[in-house]
Amino acid sequence: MPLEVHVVTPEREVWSGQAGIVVARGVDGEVGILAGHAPLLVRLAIGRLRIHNEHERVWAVVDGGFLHVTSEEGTTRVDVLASQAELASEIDVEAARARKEEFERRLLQDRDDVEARAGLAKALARIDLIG
Amino acid sequence: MGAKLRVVRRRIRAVQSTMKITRAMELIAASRILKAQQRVEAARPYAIQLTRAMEDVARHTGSLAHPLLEEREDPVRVGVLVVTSDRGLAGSYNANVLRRAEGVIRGVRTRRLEPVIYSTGKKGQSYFRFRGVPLQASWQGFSEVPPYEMAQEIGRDLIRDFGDHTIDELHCAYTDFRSAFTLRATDKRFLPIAPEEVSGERGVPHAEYLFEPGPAQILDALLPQYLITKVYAALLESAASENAARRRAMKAATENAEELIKVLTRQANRARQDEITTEIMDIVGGSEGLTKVSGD
Repeated sequence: MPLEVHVVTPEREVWSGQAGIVVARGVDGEVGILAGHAPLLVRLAIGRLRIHNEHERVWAVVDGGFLHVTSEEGTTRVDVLASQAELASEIDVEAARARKEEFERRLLQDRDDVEARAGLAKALARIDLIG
Repeated sequence: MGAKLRVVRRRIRAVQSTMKITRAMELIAASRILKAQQRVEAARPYAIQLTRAMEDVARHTGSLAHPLLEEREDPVRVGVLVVTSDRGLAGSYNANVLRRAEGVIRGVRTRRLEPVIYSTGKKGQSYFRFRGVPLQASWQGFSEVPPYEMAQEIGRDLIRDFGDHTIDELHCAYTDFRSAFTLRATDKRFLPIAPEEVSGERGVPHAEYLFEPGPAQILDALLPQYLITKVYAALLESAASENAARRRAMKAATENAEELIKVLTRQANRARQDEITTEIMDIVGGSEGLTKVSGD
């Protein structure tokens, strides 16, 4: 029995459909969800999200957020709530590289620049996913 | 061409060019209403799911405890976030929401508390500045198409001010978009978040429910996100309302211009006829004079 997966941000629904497995990076480590998983609420780190079903493998990057597993009448539903998320096909690697360099420069000047640190992590997650 | 006719024709041209502008603005606003409505719709699934996640936390921890949920016992300052537009030409849109905000501020004063004003949109900023009301913070330049990042920035600033007791409560005055014809200036309390807002109905806790990290830390991340989502929704509703109000105002302006052109054209025609009549009179008078002279 497949999982029902919804990846949403405040601005849009990024992806929704059925899947066999969802793998995400929680703040305490990776989590993999299969059908029938117990209810779960995980805080996500900035990082990749993997959704597999028989036809395709969907890769995405999420900028933190939550993963919520619920089950109703036998169906397991996975909601990924991210403040921002992009599918691999939507990522602009050049822009991510440019941002990476900018944030690295800012961190060299000020090691405690929290915003730059988060920005760098987001840019790196994107570059990392595309390879 | 006579002076009178020239003046009237010049006015007709001026009104016509104004009409072109108001009609263009009407059409732009109309297309933006639709986009803004779509963005309001697109934001809904996230908000619903976020609320569900919080309801789950509430169900499994018995009762929610968090600084953002706590009523302060002796509040001193109350924040009022006023959402206005950057540009005018939107009929009574800004006047309505500012009147609503004044109502909230009066309410705060009657409780013998001190209002602290936050404003988005240039109109709100200049309104309060003109009246010498200090602004704790103001943001502008995005009222027609508010980006989510702005809601994040505003939300974080508000949570910070709530956290360090710059404000003990937060209310928001914005315009609710019911439909393209019904816009209503409204206000809501945003902070502290009412626990019943996020608790849902009491269900049976699931025995194996897992939280990673613990429920307290999750709540710590969920609640600020919830406030940001509310700010975002207020900005989106207001943007849709602003465009609807502008479309209506511009439609009325275009119709007035059409009416004015009709009246002016009539005047121009009369002036032209008068001129022709005078000319004919002149010619007739002149030729009669000539006949008299040659007849003698």
